[in-house]
Amino acid sequence: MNKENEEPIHIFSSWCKRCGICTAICPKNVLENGPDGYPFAARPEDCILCGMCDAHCPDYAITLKAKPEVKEEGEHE
Amino acid sequence: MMRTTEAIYKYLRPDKKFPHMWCPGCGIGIVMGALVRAIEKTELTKDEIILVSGIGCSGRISTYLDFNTLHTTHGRALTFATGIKLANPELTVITVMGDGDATAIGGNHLIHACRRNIDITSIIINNNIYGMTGGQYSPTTPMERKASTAQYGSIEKPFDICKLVEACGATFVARGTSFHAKMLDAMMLRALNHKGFSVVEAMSQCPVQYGRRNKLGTPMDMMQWFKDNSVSSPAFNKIPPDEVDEQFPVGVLVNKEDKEYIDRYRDIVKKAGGEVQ
Amino acid sequence: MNKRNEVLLQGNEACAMGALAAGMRFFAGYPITPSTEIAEFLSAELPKINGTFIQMEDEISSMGAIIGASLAGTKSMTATSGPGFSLMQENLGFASMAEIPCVVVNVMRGGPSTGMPTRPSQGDVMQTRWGTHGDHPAIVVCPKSVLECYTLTVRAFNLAEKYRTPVIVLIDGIVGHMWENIETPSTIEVIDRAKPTVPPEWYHPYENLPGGEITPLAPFGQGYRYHVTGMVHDRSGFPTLVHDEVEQCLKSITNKIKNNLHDIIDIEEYLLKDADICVVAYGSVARSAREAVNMAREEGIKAGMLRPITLWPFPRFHLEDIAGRVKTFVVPEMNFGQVYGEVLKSCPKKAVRVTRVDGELVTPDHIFAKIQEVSS
Repeated sequence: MNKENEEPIHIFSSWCKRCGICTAICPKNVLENGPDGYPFAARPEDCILCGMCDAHCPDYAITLKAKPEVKEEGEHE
Repeated sequence: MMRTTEAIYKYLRPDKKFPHMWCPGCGIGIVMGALVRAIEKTELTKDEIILVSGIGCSGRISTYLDFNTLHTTHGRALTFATGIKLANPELTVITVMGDGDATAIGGNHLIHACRRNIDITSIIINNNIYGMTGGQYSPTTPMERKASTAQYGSIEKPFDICKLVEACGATFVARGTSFHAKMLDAMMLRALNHKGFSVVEAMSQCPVQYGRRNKLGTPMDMMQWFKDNSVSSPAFNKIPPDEVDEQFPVGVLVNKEDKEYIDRYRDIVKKAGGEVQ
Repeated sequence: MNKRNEVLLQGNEACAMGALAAGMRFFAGYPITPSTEIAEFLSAELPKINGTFIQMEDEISSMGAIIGASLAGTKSMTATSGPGFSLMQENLGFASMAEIPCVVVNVMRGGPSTGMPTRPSQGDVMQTRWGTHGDHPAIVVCPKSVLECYTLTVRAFNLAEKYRTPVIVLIDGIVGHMWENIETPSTIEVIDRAKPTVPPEWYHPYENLPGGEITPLAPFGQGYRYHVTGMVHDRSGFPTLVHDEVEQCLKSITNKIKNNLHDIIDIEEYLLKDADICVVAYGSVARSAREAVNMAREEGIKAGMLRPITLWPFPRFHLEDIAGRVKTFVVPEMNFGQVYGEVLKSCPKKAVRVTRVDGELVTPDHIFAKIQEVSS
């Protein structure tokens, strides 16, 4: 396995528009905006694979490497 | 891989240019992500799905998705969809419209599609503004908010899309937001499985044409506003009306059974002595 | 005495029956005088054969619905009159641009605006040509009798399917509401939609095929997934702004008509071989014109008639040909001279008009008087 595959979060920067949603929405503060504005996983070890960044990225530029373990938000009715 | 990415690779047209054409932070991409996740959970094949869109930012969804796609004229998505569904009821017909598309220029078509209870799933992406033409006020722009054609603030009372379609006879009505991305795909899945006319209002941020003009902050700030002001429908109903400020109910708001239009038409065919296929 | 297989029909009914004979199985419309009988008739007949009739909320949606039904593979039609036809222009343009076959019947009444709902007119000739915005093709057929309401509606469907384009049946209120005994043709030619000959992965819905062949339109839901838009598009149907592709797109929607004029244009000639005066008339007025020509012949005036059966594309080459032989064209119309203008384009300085816009038909006497005037 190469190093990239070990990272839980892969950011596909050619699709990223640097909107900042992923860094702001991550509940564990894993992501940070780099000096060029593109997000990167500053603390990948804290990632709980909740999928918030993946589901809220408007540009489908984030891939999590494993399926999330946490259950999905309950539906209001 | 995560759900979104899997679904995206499965349903996006690989020959289309990405990144897509929406502005940075626009919620339409989030809503489209929810839609493909919902479709992935159905057992429908790509060939069985007809995606019909109108004109505007939301209308471009049809370009990116690998179904039978139809990008119609402004406001008319439901009219084309009605023709397709009646001509071939086996097909699953989904319309995607914006707020201006669905409730201003297409308002007449919307109310009559509700009234007929024809089996079409409508996703209305409500970002409170006409984005593509440069931020003019729409029927869902809140009072006093600024727009390029409401330089001193809007003086028109906005539509409550969910209340509107409920009153007109839609048999499944739900509201979600781009913040509730995961809840949104669950609602869309239920709408797709519902027989009859179903509407999912997806509230979404337009950070460029609406947010910037009204000083609403970053895309995340606008989504945070959705989070802070959305109340689950049962809880919302317990709030005394005079205490409702900016809060709005989210969740499935209407879910009832009523005879569907094509079933009614089949009865007519029988009455006329025709053979129902 | 009537022949056994003759039936007394109204023009509007014959039009609806022609549509059914052509294989039309989807009708969407909105009530409007003087075309409503078409919708009423089809609301009774279509369910009997498992076809679909729907009364929509307006004419905009009627036009949208028939385009949708056509995309799903069903021959479809709507019928309307002036104000409704104005509302249909938006989606009529869509059908031209996206190359979706469909038939629109316009039973003309006096205009503009609400005009004279119960009085006939021929005021929509130019609207059928240039009603929707942008450069676009137009095929318009114009019946003069109840029988032709039937046969030309069949032909409208055939042209729509063959050329993948909307076709308009332009009936004036007199012909639409006229009753005649007709014998419906026992055999008619029906062109059904061609199916793609290539597998889905090779299919491009707007491909220009060699020899001007038109790419068949695959029905939605049968494995040929593609995109349809009203925007200028490339051969796959996706929006484009690439110069070459834009030009290709716009040329192909008009050239398919331009390059097949001999197949599309249909005219009737009456006593034209030795004529000095040619009356150009269409629709109900052509009936008066024929009578006027007979009256002129009795007086020893060599008159004849050219009747454009397809108003658009306009039979310009026929006119230019006739212009070399005749002295004058007389153009009677129930408008201020819409076809007269087209005749002038073909043969300047040689045409005179007979106009009537008061809601009454142009009589043979009226036309004969003009023939006498120009012959002296």
